[in-house]
Amino acid sequence: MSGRNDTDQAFRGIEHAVHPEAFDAVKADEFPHRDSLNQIDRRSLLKFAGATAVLSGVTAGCRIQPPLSIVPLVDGQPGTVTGVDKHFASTATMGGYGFGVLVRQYEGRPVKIEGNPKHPSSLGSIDPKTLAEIAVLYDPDRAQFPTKQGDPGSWEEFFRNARARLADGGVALLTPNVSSPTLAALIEEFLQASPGAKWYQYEAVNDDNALEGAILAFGRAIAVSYDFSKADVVLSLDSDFLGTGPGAVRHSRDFATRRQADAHGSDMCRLYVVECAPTPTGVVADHRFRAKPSQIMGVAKAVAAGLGVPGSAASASSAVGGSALRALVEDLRGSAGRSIVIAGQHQPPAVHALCHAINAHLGNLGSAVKTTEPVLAKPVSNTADIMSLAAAMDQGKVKSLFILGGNPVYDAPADAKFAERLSKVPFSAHLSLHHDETSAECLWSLPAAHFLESWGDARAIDGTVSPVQPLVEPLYGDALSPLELVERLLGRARSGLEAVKEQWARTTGATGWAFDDLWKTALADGLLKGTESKEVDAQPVPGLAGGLKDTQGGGIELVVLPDPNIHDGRYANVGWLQELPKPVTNLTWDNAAHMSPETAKRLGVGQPQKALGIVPFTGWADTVKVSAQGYEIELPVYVHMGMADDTVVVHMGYGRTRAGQIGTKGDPADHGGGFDVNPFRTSLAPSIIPNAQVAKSRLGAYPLANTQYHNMLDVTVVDSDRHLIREATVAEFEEHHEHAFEGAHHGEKKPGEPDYSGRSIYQRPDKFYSKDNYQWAMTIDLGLCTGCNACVTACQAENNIPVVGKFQVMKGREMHWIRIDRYYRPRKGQAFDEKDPAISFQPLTCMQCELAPCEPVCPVAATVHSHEGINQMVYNRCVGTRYCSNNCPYKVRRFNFLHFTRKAEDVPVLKLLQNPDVTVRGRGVMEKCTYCVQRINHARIEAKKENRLIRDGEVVTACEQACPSRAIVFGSISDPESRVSKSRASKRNYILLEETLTRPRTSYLGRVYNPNPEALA
Amino acid sequence: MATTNGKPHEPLIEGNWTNATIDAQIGDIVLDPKRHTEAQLKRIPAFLAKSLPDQLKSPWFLMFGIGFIGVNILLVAITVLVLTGIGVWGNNQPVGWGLDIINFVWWIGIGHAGTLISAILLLLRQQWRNSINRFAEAMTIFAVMCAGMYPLLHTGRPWVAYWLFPYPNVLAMWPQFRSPLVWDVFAVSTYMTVSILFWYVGLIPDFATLRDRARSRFAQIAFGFLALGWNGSAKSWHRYTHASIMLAGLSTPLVLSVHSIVSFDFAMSIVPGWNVTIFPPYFVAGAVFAGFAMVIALAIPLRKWYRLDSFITMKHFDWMAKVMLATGLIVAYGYVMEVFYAWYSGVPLEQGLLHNRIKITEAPYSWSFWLLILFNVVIPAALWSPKIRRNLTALFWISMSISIGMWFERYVIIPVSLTRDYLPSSFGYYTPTIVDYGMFAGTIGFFLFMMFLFIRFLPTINIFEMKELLHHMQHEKDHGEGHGGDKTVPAEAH
Repeated sequence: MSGRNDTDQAFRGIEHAVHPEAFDAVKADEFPHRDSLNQIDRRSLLKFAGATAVLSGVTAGCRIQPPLSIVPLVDGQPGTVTGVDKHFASTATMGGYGFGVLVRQYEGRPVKIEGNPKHPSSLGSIDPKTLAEIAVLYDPDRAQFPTKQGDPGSWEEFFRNARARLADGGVALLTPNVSSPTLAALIEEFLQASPGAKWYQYEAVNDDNALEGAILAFGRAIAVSYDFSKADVVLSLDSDFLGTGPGAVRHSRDFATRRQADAHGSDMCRLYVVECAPTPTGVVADHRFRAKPSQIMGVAKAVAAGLGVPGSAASASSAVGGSALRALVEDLRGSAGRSIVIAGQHQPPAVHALCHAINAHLGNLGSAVKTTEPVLAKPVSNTADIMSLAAAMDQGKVKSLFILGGNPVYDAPADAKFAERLSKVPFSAHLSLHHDETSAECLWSLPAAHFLESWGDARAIDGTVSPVQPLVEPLYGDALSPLELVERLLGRARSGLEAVKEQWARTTGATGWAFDDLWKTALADGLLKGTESKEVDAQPVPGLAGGLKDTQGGGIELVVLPDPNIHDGRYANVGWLQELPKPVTNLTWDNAAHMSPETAKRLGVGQPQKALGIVPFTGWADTVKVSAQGYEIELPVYVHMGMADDTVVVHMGYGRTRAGQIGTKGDPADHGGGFDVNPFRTSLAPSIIPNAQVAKSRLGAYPLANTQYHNMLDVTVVDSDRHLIREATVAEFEEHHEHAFEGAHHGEKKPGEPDYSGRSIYQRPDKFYSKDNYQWAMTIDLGLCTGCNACVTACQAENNIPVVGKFQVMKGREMHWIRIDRYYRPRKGQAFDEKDPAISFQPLTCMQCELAPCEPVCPVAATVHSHEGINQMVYNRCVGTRYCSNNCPYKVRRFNFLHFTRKAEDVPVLKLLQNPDVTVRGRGVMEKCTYCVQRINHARIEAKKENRLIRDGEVVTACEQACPSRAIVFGSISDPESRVSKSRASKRNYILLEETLTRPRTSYLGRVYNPNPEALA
Repeated sequence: MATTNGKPHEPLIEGNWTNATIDAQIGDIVLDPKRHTEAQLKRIPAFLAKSLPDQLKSPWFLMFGIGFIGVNILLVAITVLVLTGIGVWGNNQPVGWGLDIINFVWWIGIGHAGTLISAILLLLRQQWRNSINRFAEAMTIFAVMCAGMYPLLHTGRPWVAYWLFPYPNVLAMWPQFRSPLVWDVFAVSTYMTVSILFWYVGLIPDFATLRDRARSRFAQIAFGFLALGWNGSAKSWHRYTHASIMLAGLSTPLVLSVHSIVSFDFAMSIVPGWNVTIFPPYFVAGAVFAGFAMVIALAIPLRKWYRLDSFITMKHFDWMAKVMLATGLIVAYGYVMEVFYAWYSGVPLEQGLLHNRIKITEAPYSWSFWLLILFNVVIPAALWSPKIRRNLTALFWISMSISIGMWFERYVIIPVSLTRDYLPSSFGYYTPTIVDYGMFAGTIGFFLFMMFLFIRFLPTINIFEMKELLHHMQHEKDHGEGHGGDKTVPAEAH
């Protein structure tokens, strides 16, 4: 024991206490138990020095963590597990109507929007625009803080000024259509609190015609909705009910339930479409007729007269006549009570009213056609509303104007002269996601919170109240939702959550535990059960049919329609949607003047141009000057086969001057941006403009980026005998089964048709791979596909597929892993007619061939086959020879010709958009569909945790999940009971390019359609 | 070959030469810089003619200058390509390969004549090869260098292109040996190695001659180093002879295999227009066709500028033209066969392909097919005429026509087949960009650059083989014309 008796001393153990000096050496050494430099002899020192030098050379090339801009998850939210994603229900809003979604959240950030299976608008499916809302959330061009005349301002200053203004009166509130009960109640409160305040609603794409039609027909505002699952015969009068409008996703699902050829056969419904330009609905129709928009009323009247609707009288002429009309009328009469006649959104109110009269006459009301109380909080004619606001502004009655969303400076009717009159308003503020055209004209530009950042609610098309649940705090801390803005204008500071909860508590009457329960269930489900709009027993005004006016037409009719992708321009800055090939035309990045080949010929314009017999792939289109309503603009021409003659269709949403890096109109060769056609729209003729002057322009050619040039199947020797699309009528299918399809090789072959069966010199075992594993496969039902593009955008979102820009699309370098091929074909039994061809869609993705031609040609084994039958792509092994793509007969491989993902790597907010389960591919590598292998592996992990096999339907690919008509079925064919096994066993099943013996795992189900033999006669 | 049309056969070396004068005539091209300024360009703008020194007005300087500019263009094109990506080219979906692979195949094809001349003709004891084999071999090496750049740079990530080589690595990954691209790697690298070896071995006796004739110390040391101690002893000659025969034996199968393997890149695929069984012989014939055209196109000006008329005679040109005519006919037979089996097979895809090639009004690329026929079949048909075969101007332009035609052949096969294959939805169009053309021009520049460096620093014609030939000719003369007959007594026999 040492003599030191210091009470401060502490010993580590008995050794220390007894021999403290023994530890001195250890203490003296900073790095105990390591050789110090002093102890190393010269030779070892040199050895280490050499090794250090070598290793430092080796590791200098390695990457280290970037010094800046990454933040570890220090304290996660409760329930956040690193690497595990969660889904939350929320509600997107379009045209005022809520669309239930499930949002996938990964470590606190939303990464993908999917359909909500419980929500009546969605049933688990989704449309491209709603899918792309996630890209709006992460748009780097979003407004980030309040600005006053372009200078940064603060919310405090704004509310101080605004509240001071409120006392002065002359307050006007302009919103998009509102179905949200909470927002409507708050606005009502606001209107009462500020005497004389007025509320206006405006959206460029609106339900004015349907609303006014309902008022005409039923005497009051009534919402009319359609249940296509109950309709045996459907007549669409210029209505693209499968492709556009808030109900499209639900309509597609309901319609698909009546197009199941294997199950229903002759019970399939029959769809007649009369339309001015081919739409997804027209393409899937059993009978498609072309008519100018003004002629639609004539067809409606002829049908009404044929059916004997009281008061109806046929017009002098009808675009559909003769046997076709007689057959149509008989069909409708024969399925009275089980049919639907539906008018297009842009058709005037009279057409809607007449459709209601016909439906009522047929007894469809209450069955396939439902009449309910309005869903919107205050259904008004948007056009009338914006006009009266404009008039009030003009007269100086509006002293302060609060615009909560929308972009009226860009899209208000031309005769509202909105921008000019806005300058007369002393205090104006615009709450918007972007600093857009309207923000620039307002005194205040206020950043809006995205729906994924804010609380709220909305009502679905059937009226179901659906909560808007935030997935993330506002990315830009200053953003407010419309709800919160009105709340603060009222001088209160409730959060959106409190506002919604209090409103719901008030309307449901639930309190305490009961309310908590209801609230939690509603949030989990994404809807509040039992809140559908009440059905009302509506009967049309007697003698309605007689008093309806014909649509004013004549000359070349200009039709201004919402863009299928960027809608009214609100999605102009979303690259996904700009680059999404528009249904039927496959046009990207621009709008154009669509016209029939006949009309184009008459105007002396055409596309594609033929120079020296050379047909360019992506072409320079001629331009035309279109003048109407005192406005003229030069537009590129898109010759659209199947359009009505003397009709020009243009789409709104383009020609934006303040949309962002992507959406703002720019260099035509670089990113296009299209042409602003809103000035054509006036309050009197918002969508159909008769007597437009169209002439060839001297402007010359304009580049249009099209992902597929006009190609005709089975027309020239080039395309003959490939039998890519197989179709048969119900009658043929019932009689001949699998032999009904042209090109089907089973049984006897048709004269002149090559027979490839049994020609291979190689053995063709039935099952190439073992049955013990999962063997993934997919079927795509061509009879159900409507070409809506939901799968394309879903795939893009799921698999981090980059946007390449207009110029690269023109070069043919778009990256979509799934695409929808569009073919023009001759109508059955007829020669090809470019005026009115049959049109077919064929979604195409990697076929996952069992004998994949891409695999043996890869020099580095970067594409290999998994034992589960997936043709895998190993990105980090790929050196980019492109040989695999050359050797792919389906041309589904996509190559990163440039560093297309640079922005996703460099722009911080875009990094958040990427799906963490999927590699972001750099330049120089090939990529393609992998059957969403990340989802398969996710399911595999879950199954293994529970020590079971993956269940059928547990793995859902992104495309399958999004498909509104459930045309895509995925699963394992090693399980004979799986949905895909059953689907592949269908008599309609066929393999694309079977003669190449690639043995694809993706097969198609031939389209069976249901034409009326009488109408064909 | 005793007589042609009753005339006595022409000698392979014209004029009166001795070993010393041959040494001087060929060796001095290397040792005496003045030889490069002897010929002067005639058409020079007046203001330049006055100000430029004479050296710069020589054809050597002009060609070297063009080559140098080309090398710079090439460097710029490669830099842009590597920094930006394949997207700077015109390649797209569905056309994964465009000018990159066209040029690869074109350059490889050009290289073939060199190997054919040096290896096969050596084994066949064709003495006329002696005057052209050296620069034809050099041409082969430089053409293979140009060709080799393309497979490397056409990859999306050229920095990992070495993965195509089988090397031991921690990934435990081999290349995928079923891929024709891997076969290419082996074929081309073997070809390059053997060609360089063969060329170098052939140069050793000439290096010794230059070493002995050089006056500057530096040249003596440099050539002495390269001559590997050659002392002209019987032992040296013995070993040399054996080495060159063995290398010729190694090279001979390569002449056939390399282009056969290159053609497998296409023939092994399932692309209509590529998946063709006649490709291997058809490609080899095309390569020899293009290669001889390039040899002629180079020989004609060189002969003129460096007064080599005595060594490269009209007889050489006549024979080379005949080789071109023969291989050209094989190639033309290939074109006919492609049309025939498109019809005979009845396969719609093949018929579609034919349609895409030949229908002038409907097929976007028919022009390229018809240009190919013009340049490769119609114009070379003039070679049937002996007068044309000995008219150097005509021969030069026909050779140029064949070079262009063979380029178009690859254009028609590679991108044009890809523009339209199976699914009409994916039919596309291919437009090369300025970087594509820049890179092509750059490789031509690089080729000229290397070629004229070679002419400046290495003996363009095989000196010792010329001397040997002279020896034989004199030997024959001594024995009188009666001996006549076949003059292909193997040199090695002595």
